[in-house]
Amino acid sequence: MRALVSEPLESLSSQATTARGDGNSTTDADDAIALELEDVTKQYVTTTAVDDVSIQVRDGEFFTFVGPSGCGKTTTLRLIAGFEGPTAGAIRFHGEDVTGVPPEDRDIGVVFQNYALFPHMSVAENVAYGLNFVSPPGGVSKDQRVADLLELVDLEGMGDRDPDQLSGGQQQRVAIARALAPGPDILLLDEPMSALDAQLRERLRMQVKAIQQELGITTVYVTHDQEEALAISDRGAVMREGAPEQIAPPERIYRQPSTRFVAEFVGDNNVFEGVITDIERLASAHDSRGSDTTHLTIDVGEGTFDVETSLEPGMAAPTEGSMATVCVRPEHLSRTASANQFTARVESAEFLGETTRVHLQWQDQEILLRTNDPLSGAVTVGFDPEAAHLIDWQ
Amino acid sequence: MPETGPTPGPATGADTGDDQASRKRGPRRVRDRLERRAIALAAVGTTIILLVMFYYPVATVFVESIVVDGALTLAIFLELLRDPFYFGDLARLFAGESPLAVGADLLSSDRRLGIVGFTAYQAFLSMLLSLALGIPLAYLLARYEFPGRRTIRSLTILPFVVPSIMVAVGFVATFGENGTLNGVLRFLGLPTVSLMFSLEAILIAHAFYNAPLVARVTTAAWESVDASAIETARSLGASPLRAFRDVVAPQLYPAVLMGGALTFVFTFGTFPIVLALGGIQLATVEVFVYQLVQDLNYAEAAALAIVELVISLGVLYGYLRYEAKHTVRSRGARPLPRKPLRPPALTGRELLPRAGLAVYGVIALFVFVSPVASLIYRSIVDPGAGFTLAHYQFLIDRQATGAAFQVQPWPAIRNSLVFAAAALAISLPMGIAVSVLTTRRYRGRKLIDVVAMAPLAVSGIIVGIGLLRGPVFGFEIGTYRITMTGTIAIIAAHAVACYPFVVRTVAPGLESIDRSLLESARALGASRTRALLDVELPLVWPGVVAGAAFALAISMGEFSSTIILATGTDQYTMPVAIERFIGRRLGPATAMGVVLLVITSVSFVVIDRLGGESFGL
Repeated sequence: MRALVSEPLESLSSQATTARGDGNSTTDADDAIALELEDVTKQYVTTTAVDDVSIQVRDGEFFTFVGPSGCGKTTTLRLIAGFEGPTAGAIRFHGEDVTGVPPEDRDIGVVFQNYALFPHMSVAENVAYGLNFVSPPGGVSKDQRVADLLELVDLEGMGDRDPDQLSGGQQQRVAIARALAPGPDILLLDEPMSALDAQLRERLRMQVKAIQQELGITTVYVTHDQEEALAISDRGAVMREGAPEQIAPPERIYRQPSTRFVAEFVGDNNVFEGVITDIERLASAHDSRGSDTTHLTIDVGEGTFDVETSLEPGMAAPTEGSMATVCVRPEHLSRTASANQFTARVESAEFLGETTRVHLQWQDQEILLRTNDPLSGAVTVGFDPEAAHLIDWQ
Repeated sequence: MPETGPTPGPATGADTGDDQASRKRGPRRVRDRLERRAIALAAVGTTIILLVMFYYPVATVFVESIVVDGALTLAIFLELLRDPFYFGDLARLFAGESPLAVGADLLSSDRRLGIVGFTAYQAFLSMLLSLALGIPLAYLLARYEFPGRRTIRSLTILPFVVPSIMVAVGFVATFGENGTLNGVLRFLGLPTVSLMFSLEAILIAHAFYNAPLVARVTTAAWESVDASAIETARSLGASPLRAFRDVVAPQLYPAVLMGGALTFVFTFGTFPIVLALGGIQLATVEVFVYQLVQDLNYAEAAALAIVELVISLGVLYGYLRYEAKHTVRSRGARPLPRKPLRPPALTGRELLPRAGLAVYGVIALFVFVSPVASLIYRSIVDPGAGFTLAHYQFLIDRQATGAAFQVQPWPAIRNSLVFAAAALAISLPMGIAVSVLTTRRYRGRKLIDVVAMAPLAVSGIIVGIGLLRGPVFGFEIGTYRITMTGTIAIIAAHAVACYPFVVRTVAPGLESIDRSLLESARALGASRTRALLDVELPLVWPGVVAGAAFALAISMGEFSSTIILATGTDQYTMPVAIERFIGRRLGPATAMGVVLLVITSVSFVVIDRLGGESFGL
C-alpha cells in the first residue's frame, strides 16, 4: 500500500493540513460539533429501533456505532443519512437542523456493506456520478477529481474497468472514492468490511483510517465487530436495544466498561457479582485522570475479592452492603497472582494461536482464562486488585 | 455551512466555506423542481386516468344495475339469480327450494347448468386441459436439456401477445368444415369430424392459450428447487420418487395452482374465442353480456357482469389466500441439473419418461402449432383450388373499391397502430409510476397494488360499456357537458388494459434492485427521479422494453372493449375487422389474421430479444 499519510495528495489534503495542522489547531475547530442527534427515536409498527438517542460527533472525528445485530446501529446511520426520518427528535449537521432534508441535500457520502456500485457504469463513471450534482471541490476538472480519488484509494488507471471485474476489496475502495468525490461533510460507512475476508478486512481498515485522517473528514462508522470498532475509532457508542450503553474512546470502553453488557460484548470478560463488605478510600492514590481510587472488599460466595478501582465520573461512592458488579479481563487472570485466588475446574480449551482460551467452571459461573500452558483438572487462579474494574453497584 | 470560521469541510481543497455553500446549494431552477416532483406528478396523472377512464365508467355500469328509476334495488340481481336460464338448477336454490332436491337434480344426468353454470363448467374443463398440457411441458423444460429448449421456453410467452381473435380464426381454419384437419383426414381416407361450434373446439383453443401459462409458472418454480434439498432427502433415505413427493412437489403446488386459478379466471371471462367458435348455443356469460349490450339492455348486462366479476375475484382471492400461506421460495439456490433428452442408456427407467414426452410432443404439435400453421396455410391455399393470393387481393380490392360502411383493411391497420402507439405512450409512464409506488415498503402498499391491478380482473366489455355510457355520452359539470370522442375512449381503454402488464414486467426488476444502489445515488446528490432515470431504469431496461412490447401487443389484440366502442364508427381495429370478415368469408379473415400475426410477431421478437424472461407472471 502506498504510504498515504507520509505522502499526501496536494489537492486532497491541503484542508487537512490547514485546518487541523499537526493536530494542535485551535480548540474552537477541534470542539466544533459536526453532527448532533438530539433525543432521536425511530419507531416501527411493532418495534422501537432507535430509542431516544442523543449523541454529538466532533468535527473530524471517527465515530463508531458498535453492537449486536438488531441494536439499532444501522437504523441510526440511516437516520443520519436521511434514508429514513426519525419518529421524534432532531438531527443537526454543524448546528443546522436537517431532520426533514432529503438525503441528496445533506452533503453526505455513504458506503454500504455490499459496495452498491452501479453495475451499468464503469469505475470512473461510478466515482464521477456525484459530480453531476456539484462541481468538483478545489476547482479541478471532473476527470482530475476522479483520477485523484482513484489514486487516493490505490486504484490508479482502473477507471475504465467494470465494477464486476474488480475484487471485493477493490470494489469497496471504489465505493469509498465515489462517496468522497463530491467532497461531503460527513462520511457514513455501514459495515463496509463485513463482506470481505479477515486479512483484507484488516488491510482495508488501516487504509480507511489513513484516508480519514488525511482528509480529516467527520466519519460515522457502523460495525458489529467490536475488534474493528476498537481498532479504528476515535470514539464509539456501544449500542443495545436502540440506545447507547456507553459513549467513549476505545480504550475506556475496553478498560472501563460502564455496563455489564459493554463489559461482555467488547472482548472476553469475567464478570463477578457480590456484596461489598468493606470500603476504603485511598485518598492519596490518584489515577491518571486524578479521580480517587477506592479499595473494595467484595463477598462473592466462595471467598472475597479485593478490588481497587477508580469511580466513573458521576458514579456515587459505593456503600457497604450493596451489590457490586466487577469485571476482570481473561488476560489479567493468572496462576501466579497472589491476590484474589480461587480454584476452578477446567472444562475446555480453545487453541487460538498466540494463546489458548481456557473455559473454567467456578460457582455456577464460566470463567475465561488466557494462557499458554496446558491445563487440566482443578487450577487455582488469581488477579491483582488493580486489574479489576467496578462496573456498577446498587 | 455554519459560521465556524475556516470551514473544516473535508476534501474541498482551496475552497472556502462560502464557495462550497454556493457550489452545493445554488438556487433551484423550475425544471429542477419539476424533476423532483416527476414521480409524484406521474402518480397523480395515473390516478386521474384510472379514476376517469376506469373506475368512474365501471362504477356507472354497476350503478345502473342497482338503481332502477332512481331507487336503489337488488331486484335485477335477484331476478338474475332465480332465472334458470342463467343459473340452471341452482336458480331454484336461490328461489328458495330445498337444497336436497336441487342437489339431487344436479347429480342427475339431465341437469341444467344455465349460462353461468356452463361458463364455470367450460372454464373448469379448460383449466384441467391446460394443466394436463402445461405440466408435461414444464417437466420437459425444467428437467431436460436439448437444442431449442430456450426458444421453446420463450415461446411460452406467446399467448400473452397473440390476439385471441386471431387464435379463433386459426381454429376455424383448422377445425372448420373445410379446415386443414378435415383436409388431412380426407387425404388419409378417414371420416371427417365436425368440431366447429362444439365444446371441444373451445376447450382446445383455451388450452392453446393457457397451457403455456401453466407451463411457464411451473417451470419457474421447478427451476428454483434447490438440488441440495433433494440430495438431503436422498441422503436421509428417501427414494427418488419419495424425494420428489416430499421436496419438489410442495414447491410446485403453488405454481400449478396459480396457473390453474389464472386459467379458470381467464377462461371464465372468455369472449372472442367463444364468440367465434361457440356459436349461440355455447354462449358464455361474457358473450351474453355483449348480447345484452347489443340489445341495449344495460341494467341486466351490468348485473350479469357483476356476477361474473364476483365469481372471478372469488377464485383469485381464494388463490391469493392459499399463496400467502404456502409459498416456498428458495432463492439463489443451486438448481437441479438437466438431463439430456437423448436417453443415456436403453433401460426402462430412462426410456419411459422420454416416450411419454414423445407422445406429448405429438399432441402439443397438434394443439399449439396446427392453428397458427392452418391460419397461414388457409390464407394462401384454397381447398380444391390450390395456391392463391386471392384473399390478399380481396383486402386490397376492398380498400380500393369498398363502400364507406364496409370494413376496410387500411383504416383497421392504421387505427390499430395509432391506438397502440398512443396506448403505449400513456401506459408506459403509468406502469413505471405504479411500479415505483408498489415496490416501496409502506402501509397500504397492498391496497394500492390491488387498486392498480383491478383492470386485469374487470372484463373489457364492462370497461367498454362504461366508457360508452359515461365519458363518451358525456359528464355534466355545472351547465357544461364534457364529452369524449370515441378515439380517446378506445385509447384510454387500451392504456388501462395495457399498463398492468408494464407493471408486471417492471416491478419485479425494481423490487430485485438492491435498495442501497438507490440510496447511494440519493446520498451522492441525485433526486428520487434522477436516481430512477440514472440507476434503476437502466438496470431494469429489458423489463421496460418487454413491458412496452406487451403493451403494444395487448393493445393491438384488444377486442372486448374495442368492439363495443367501435361499433358503428370508423374506429375499428384489426381484430374487429377480422371478426367482421369471419362471419362471411374465412379467406379474407385468415389473410387479415396473418397481417395481425406478422405485426404481433415483431412485438414478440422484441420481447424475446430484450428479456421476456423478466415477465413477472
